[in-house]
Amino acid sequence: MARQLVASPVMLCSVAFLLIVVAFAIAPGFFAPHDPEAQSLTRRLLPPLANVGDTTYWLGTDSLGRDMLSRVIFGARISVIVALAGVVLSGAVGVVIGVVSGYYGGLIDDFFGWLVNVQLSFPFLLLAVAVAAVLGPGLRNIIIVLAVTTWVSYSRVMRGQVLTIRDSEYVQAARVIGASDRRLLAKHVLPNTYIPLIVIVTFEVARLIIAEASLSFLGLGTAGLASWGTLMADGRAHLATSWWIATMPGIAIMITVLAINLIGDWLRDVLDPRFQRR
Amino acid sequence: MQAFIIRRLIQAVFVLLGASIVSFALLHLAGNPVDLILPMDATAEERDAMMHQLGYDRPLIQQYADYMRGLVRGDFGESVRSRQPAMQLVLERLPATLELAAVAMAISIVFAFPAGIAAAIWRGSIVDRGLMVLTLIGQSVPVFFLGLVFILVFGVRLRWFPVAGRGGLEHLILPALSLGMYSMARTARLVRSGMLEVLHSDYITTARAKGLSEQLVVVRHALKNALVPIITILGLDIATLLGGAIITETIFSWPGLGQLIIYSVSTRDFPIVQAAVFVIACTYIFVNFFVDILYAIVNPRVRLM
Repeated sequence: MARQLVASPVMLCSVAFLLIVVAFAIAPGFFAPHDPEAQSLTRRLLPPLANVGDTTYWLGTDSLGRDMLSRVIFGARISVIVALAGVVLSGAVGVVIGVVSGYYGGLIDDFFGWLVNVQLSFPFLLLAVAVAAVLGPGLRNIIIVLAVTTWVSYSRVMRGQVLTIRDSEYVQAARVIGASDRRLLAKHVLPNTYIPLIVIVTFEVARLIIAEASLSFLGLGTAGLASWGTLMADGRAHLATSWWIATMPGIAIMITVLAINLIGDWLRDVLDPRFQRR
Repeated sequence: MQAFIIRRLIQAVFVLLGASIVSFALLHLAGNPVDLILPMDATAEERDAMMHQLGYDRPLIQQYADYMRGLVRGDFGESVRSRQPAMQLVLERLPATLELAAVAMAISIVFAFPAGIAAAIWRGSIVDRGLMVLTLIGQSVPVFFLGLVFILVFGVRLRWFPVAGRGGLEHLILPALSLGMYSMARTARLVRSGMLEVLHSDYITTARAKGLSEQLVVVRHALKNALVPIITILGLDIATLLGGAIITETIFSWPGLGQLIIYSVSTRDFPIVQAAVFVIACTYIFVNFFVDILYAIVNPRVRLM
């Protein structure tokens, strides 16, 4: 797998870019050239690459004279935290529900199947907006909102996986020997579901980054903490005169999501031999 | 076929019931629904009075029964702000959103199918690789970023299109294109993989062996079968489009449901939010009910499942 990774320059770039984003998220203060909240009346709305005195504002400044590069770097932290926490939470819920309904079937499966269908009848973003509106903004609430609205993806995939594995001969054999449900699940069923899970987690991280940015853009996101979506919302008012304020965080979102999607595609091809012939 | 339709209908009714529970539960999600309406500094007496007046102090199941009774008549209560029936306000906005979503889907289909077919036929070529990179980018751009870039480039700089409001065709192009981009990219990829799968099947080899022209093989034999699974995907796309409309309408000041929802959320006008959420879910459920029936007509194997 490592060899295949090195052989693909696109993949190397994607991984490298994501590592940079993660580094920004872990230690934004180390990388940011300025304090992201430091305002300056004399340095308002500077375009990218503007030189003032001895400093260069690589991505320009916003309407309060704050350095955009520093704000984008600090914004990475919020976007990454929300996406990762959201994926962990929704993944945990979705995997448990999917495995339980796939393994036990019957009424449990019917109930969760109904729940999935009901949830899917609401556009994901609509539900997220509605729930976020009721719960109110904030880092914790936004993570809950995303978890509540995205667990379905994991549940459906895991259910399908467990269904096929459950009836396979080696699981039947283990059952005949007298293995308990718990042992069957832990030793025989779950270890064989991780490949689709890894792939779906990758794509979900990308989806949650966009979702968080969308909610923040609509003013329903992380109150007070400027994520990439918040920065874009701030820049919207100045779009006609100072395009860079909204565009720079937008580009950050786009490249990050693109990198994750590329990695997801690649993982799917490499990890799942069934896809390779295509 | 009849049995299939009935079974699918019963399922739709149950999902509709679930959707009504969700739109009802929305108000109670954060605890006391009165807190969503009253200002933060309201006294305990004011809260109790309001709860009693609106009936929130009764058992939940009774409130839900009342809610359902209203819902069956299309009554979601009055807008807290304008005192007009919430349902009426929502239905007034629905056509604009459906128009936007329909045009977005039309644009996405018109571009996605030729692109996907071309990529599959010339698999591994520059065309294929270029299209796949483009579709991956299309799936990675957030709707609101695309919308802002369109406004900036085609509205503010080039002045080709108006950037706000609803009107003639020129008003539709930018919002529909930014809304449809994600679906376009996804559909193109699905058409490509669907075509690839079909092109490798035995009956295509047979058709080629019979000496049929490549064009005939692709159009008559491959495309028809590759299209079948994509019908269901287009039904599911409705959700993506209606969800994305919330953002697109906000950016382009498109007077549809999405804009109404965001406005109602910011003014804490929850009867409208509930009505809008339910209407959108209904739209999705109905569309997918008919898509599934259509799918069963085209693909008889489904009926037996």
